[in-house]
Formats: sequence, structure tokens, C-alpha cells
Amino acid sequence: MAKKILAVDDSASMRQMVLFTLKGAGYEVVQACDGVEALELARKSAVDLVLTDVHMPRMDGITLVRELRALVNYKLVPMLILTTESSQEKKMDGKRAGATGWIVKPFNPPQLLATVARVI
Amino acid sequence: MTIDLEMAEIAKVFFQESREGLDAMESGLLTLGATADGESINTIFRAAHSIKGGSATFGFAEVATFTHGVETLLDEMRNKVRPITAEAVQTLLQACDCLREMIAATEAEQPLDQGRIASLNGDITQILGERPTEAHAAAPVAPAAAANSAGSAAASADGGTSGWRVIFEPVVDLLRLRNEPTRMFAELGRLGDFTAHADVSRLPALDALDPESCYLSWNIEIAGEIPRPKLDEVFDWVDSHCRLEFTPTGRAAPAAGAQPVAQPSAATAATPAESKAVPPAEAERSPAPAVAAVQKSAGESGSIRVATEKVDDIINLVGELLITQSMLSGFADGIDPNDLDRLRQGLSQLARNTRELQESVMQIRMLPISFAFNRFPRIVHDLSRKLDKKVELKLVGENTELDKTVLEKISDPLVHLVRNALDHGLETPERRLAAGKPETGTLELAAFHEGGNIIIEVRDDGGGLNKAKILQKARERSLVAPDQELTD
Repeated sequence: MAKKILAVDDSASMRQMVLFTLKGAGYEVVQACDGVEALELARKSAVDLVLTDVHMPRMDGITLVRELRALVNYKLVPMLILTTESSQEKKMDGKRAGATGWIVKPFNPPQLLATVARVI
Repeated sequence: MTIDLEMAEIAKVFFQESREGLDAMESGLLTLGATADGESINTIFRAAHSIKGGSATFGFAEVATFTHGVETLLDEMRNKVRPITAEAVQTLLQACDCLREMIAATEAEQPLDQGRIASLNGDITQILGERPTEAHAAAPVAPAAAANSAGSAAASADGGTSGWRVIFEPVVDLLRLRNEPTRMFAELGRLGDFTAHADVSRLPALDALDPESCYLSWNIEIAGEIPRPKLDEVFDWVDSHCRLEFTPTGRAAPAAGAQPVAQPSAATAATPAESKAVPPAEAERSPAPAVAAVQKSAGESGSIRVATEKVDDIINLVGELLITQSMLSGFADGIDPNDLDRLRQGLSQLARNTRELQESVMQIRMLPISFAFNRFPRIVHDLSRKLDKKVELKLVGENTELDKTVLEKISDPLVHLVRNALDHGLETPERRLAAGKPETGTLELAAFHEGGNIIIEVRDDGGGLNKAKILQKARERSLVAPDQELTD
């Protein structure tokens, strides 16, 4: 069965890029445009990986990771945050919240796939 | 479809999204002075951040580099490191204009206005340099494709090694920190052949063993000319949660390579791993949830974006359908009387359906008047600055819906009316105060339904036109006879 990935980003173009890349590689992808929507989706169904942007309205990516980690089903699910080069601080915030790792923006499709392959 | 074609399609979404982001930035910047709540500066920052990330991802390096400066400035304002001054807001507004042009030029594959970009960049750099902040120097964002080049450059500095010895001693919390050593070994396997010896000395007795803890550490020997950054990449998600030591094996690396290099951060190797690990207390008080007021977005909720031509096509088709229906109705008058009733019934139902369809299709082209009103905060801001007048703009009935074609036609005349009101209607603050009025004038744009019409009003509380003066001028030029009395 195809691995299911939850992709969270408030930017439609980034979501499309992620969606297109992952679907092309045979993953199943569900999308959310902010943390609140992602949390709702994640509560309803299980996913194999969460990919989330950091800066989003309503609920940011770090908070999302922390909220997800509190759910029993998401204790061990890999979670990656999408972050920019400059934000070492965000990486550490992400780790403290329970993120598995990060993908540094900007990334291209092969880089995204290589990183995803590291965790699932 | 090839990757490039698909990426070009997605880039179109990026352009559209950037324009929307710039609109949000602009209207956010215009309200910053009045109501400086944290959420509006966050919204502005996010819009800039998304444009930077997207432009870098889609390979528009110049847009990304320019936006980086804007984003840095906004980030400082957001974190209250830098005050929000009128000058900075003005520069940011100009940066929005410039970005809008850059996006348009990039989309049309036209050359960018380098002079303007450089001058605004200079303004931003100047604001950023006004007080020393931590060397955040405008590190240009490299397009995605170039991201790895730094790694290979650093690799050659290492000289060639024929392999590495790696000591990997994770904290017992490794698994709870969601890092799975087997995945890291899989990653290592992609770099070269390796052997890993597990060190079981930390393993407790079975009854004391916690299945979610990681008691093992490893001595790894990996063969091959592997650049050091590649190894770092494997461990970069965990380097704050373990003791790591990298030693080149085989051919010695030149210069500093003679003695073992303990890295990535010297502190990591020198001190016990546990001390480097994040104390739980700190994790508790990491950033407060930024759940803030739900964004208000005029007319955005549940909306769809449809190309106007498609809607026009549907409207034409519905028109044709109406004609066919009425032709059939007329035709029904002259046929077999027995079937007539059923036919009439069917036709009247068709007539009703068609009418309803037409109404709902027409509805698609209706847009809230905020689409026309939204440009006015910026126009009023710029113009009142230029004229040294203080103006508060009030928008009323922004959700009143108008046909898109009408909306497009009234937009320019409205601009004219608003300019007139600012130029000739509203007085300077001094004259207003002298006339016993509040210093700040009010300009109101209102739209509402009245008796089947939609009324759009532009109203100001200024002194209006000087009738005596105009009449005098008109008489001087003999446009009005000296003894002629005119009504208002």
C-alpha cells in the first residue's frame, strides 16, 4: 500500500509542488493549508509522514508538531518541517517540539524525495 | 508531462499567489500605523516569507534575494527589534510595488528594472543598518539547484580520504525524539560499504529495559571517498542528541587532517552527550502557540477562481437556451390538443429551470465591491502624504455585489472622484483646525442597494468647492454673464 503523507503549507504553489513530486513517486498525499486543518485531518486518519511548513496562519508548523506528538497515534510518526536556511533556531524549535528533522528551503523535487526516503 | 512543464504550471500558481500576497502585505502595511496588533505584522511577514520561499523554489533568484531584505526587515519589526516607523512602512510599500513589477516582468519573461531594484534594496539595507543588529547580512538565497554546490566545494578542502571512522553515541531518548538509527544506517549504506559495531555497555538488565529507549551506541567504519558534508547530512537531524566523532581513515587528509577531527561542534565531542541534550524544561516553554484571531478576509471565504471567458461562455449558452425554450413554447401553440397540456406543463417547467439557471449563472460573475474599493487605502495613503493632509478612509458596504464587468468600468471613475475629494474637498489640517473641525478629515466610500439599483457614494467632510471663487473666475473669463445668477 502506498505510504500516506500529510503535506501542510499555506502557500498553494508550494503545496502543488510537493503534491506533484510525491504523487509522481507513488506516495499518497493529503493536504492541509494550516496547522488547524492538518490537526483535524490527522485526528481523522493515520498518516505515515507529516511534512509541514513553519509560518502559517491560525496554527504554525512547530505548534502543529507539538500538538500531533501529544496524540497517541502520532507518537512515532516521522515529522519533517520545511524551513529556510537562516533559521537554525527554527530547526531547534522544531526538534524540541518533536520533529524528526527538516528540509531546508528552497528544495527541488529530487531533494524532497531524497529527504522523504530517509524517513519512510 | 515532464517535470519542467509541470513546474512551469505550478509557477503560474506562484505568480497569482504572490500577487495576492502583495495585496495582503499592502493592506496590512496601510493599517500598521493605526492598529499595530501583532497579528497584522505577522500576516505581512508570512506573505513576504512565502514569496521568498516560492521564488527561490521556482528558480527566480532575483525576486528571492530582493524579498529576503524585505523579510528580514519585517522579521525585526515583528520581533520588536526594530520600531515600525512611517518611513520604513513607506519603503516597504514601495518594495511591494517593486515586487509586483518584478513578478510581472518575471512572468512575462521581460528584463527587470535593475535600477529601481538596486535603489530600493539600498533603502532597505540602510534601514537595516541603522542600528547594529546581529550580522544577519543579506545572505542571498540560492536557487534550489545550487544548494549542494557548497557541499562539494567544502569536500575538496578535506582532501581525499579513503574512509571514515564514526563514533555515534546517541542519547537514550533518541527514539522518543523520533529518530530511528536503522534509517540512518540505510542512509550511510547509500554512501558506501560500512560495518557498524554495536556497543552494548549501556544496555541494562532485561527487567530495567525500557523498550522506547536507545541504549546502544555504534563504532562505524565506512569505506570510500566520502565528502565530510555528506556524512554530516546523515546525522544533521540528531547532532544535538548524540556524541559524534568523525575520524578520517586510510590516506591522511592534508593540513589539519593529521589528528582526529572531532566535530560537528567541538562542544558536542568534548562534553558528555547528555549535557548537550535539551533539558525537558526548555522544551516545555518553547514558543507559545501562535493561534491568533482568525483572519478576516473580505469575500475570500468559499470563493473560486474562474476564468472570465468560461463564465461568459456559460452566460451565452444560457441565453441560447432561453431562446430555444421560448421558440418551443410558441411552437406548442399549434400542435395536437391532446398532448398539449402535458407539453405545456413540461415547457413551463423548462422555462422555470432555465430562468433559475440564468440567475445563478449571472451570480457567478458578481463580485463584492471590495474588489474595487481595496485599492483606495493605498491611493489615499499616498495622496494624503503628498498633499500633507490627514485623511481617514471609511469603506461601507464592501460586500455589496456587482457584476464584474460593471465593477471594472466604475473603478477608474471612482479613482477620479476620490482624487478630487482629496485635492479639492478636504482641507489641510491647519485650515480644518481653524474651522473648528477635527484635524483628520473623513472620506467615505459606500455601496448599497436601493430600489433595485446599487448606489455608490463618495463623501467627504471637507469644505467643498468655493462657489464664490469659482463664480468670480467664470465671470472674469466671461463664461457667466456678470448679472447672471446660477443655481448650485
